[in-house]
Amino acid sequence: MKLGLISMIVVLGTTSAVFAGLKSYIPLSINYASHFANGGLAETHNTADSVQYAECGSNPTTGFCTVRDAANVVTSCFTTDPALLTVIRSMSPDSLFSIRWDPTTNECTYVLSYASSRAAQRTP
Amino acid sequence: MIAGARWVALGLAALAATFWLGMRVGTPGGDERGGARVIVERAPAAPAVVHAVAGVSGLTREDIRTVVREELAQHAQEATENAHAAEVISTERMEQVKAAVASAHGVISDGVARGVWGERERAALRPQLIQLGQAETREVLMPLFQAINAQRIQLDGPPI
Repeated sequence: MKLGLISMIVVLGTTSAVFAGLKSYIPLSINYASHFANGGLAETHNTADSVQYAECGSNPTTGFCTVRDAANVVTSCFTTDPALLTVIRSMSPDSLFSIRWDPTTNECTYVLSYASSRAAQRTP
Repeated sequence: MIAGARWVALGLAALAATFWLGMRVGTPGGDERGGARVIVERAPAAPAVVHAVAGVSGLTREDIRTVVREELAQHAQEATENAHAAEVISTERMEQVKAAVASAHGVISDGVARGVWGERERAALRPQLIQLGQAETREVLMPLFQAINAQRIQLDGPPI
């Protein structure tokens, strides 16, 4: 009886360990004063509202990133910088991102894309 | 005692025979003790011959000057023609780019005026964008993104 109880505890402990690991919620955040936005593409997708979104893309010569906050304010920047185009093209649907833009030209001045175990995955 | 001396004498004889054999066969190519030494003699390099310019084929210095002048003139003419062709291509290309810039500006102005930027506008802009260099692309896209960020245009899908 005791042995069974101990086995159950061990099994439960092992199972919970499988789901362990630091998780952070990284929602879309836009700082209009600093012309900066960041967040997770999957987590922005997972938000309860149907307003927010974040996306980046490129054609052979030009790239862009667009974010829309919960208040339906759209911010978008573009770039022809080959280095930034490379970063944009490296993104996946679960990427976390940061962008900065020049408010005068509306060009992206910085694009960061990264993958993290902390971030949530996309849910349908 | 005698047997020991015999063994020593035999050993010495064997050593002597080995030494003699070594001397006979130790130099495969032969040497002064046996085979003939092979000496390869190479003919000395031919001395450089400097021909007199006018004496090669009956050409005078003036003939050579004339030929050189003709060659130079021909090259100059070819270079001028190539430059002219490049200029024509460049002018054509510039005209194309100017037309593409004007068309792209028109598409964007129209979209901004109507307050809509969707698939139709993107489809009209794309053929123009692919003809543009970096500078023209920036020039064309700035007003579009300005309108988007000023919320003056309803963005439906990606901007480009």
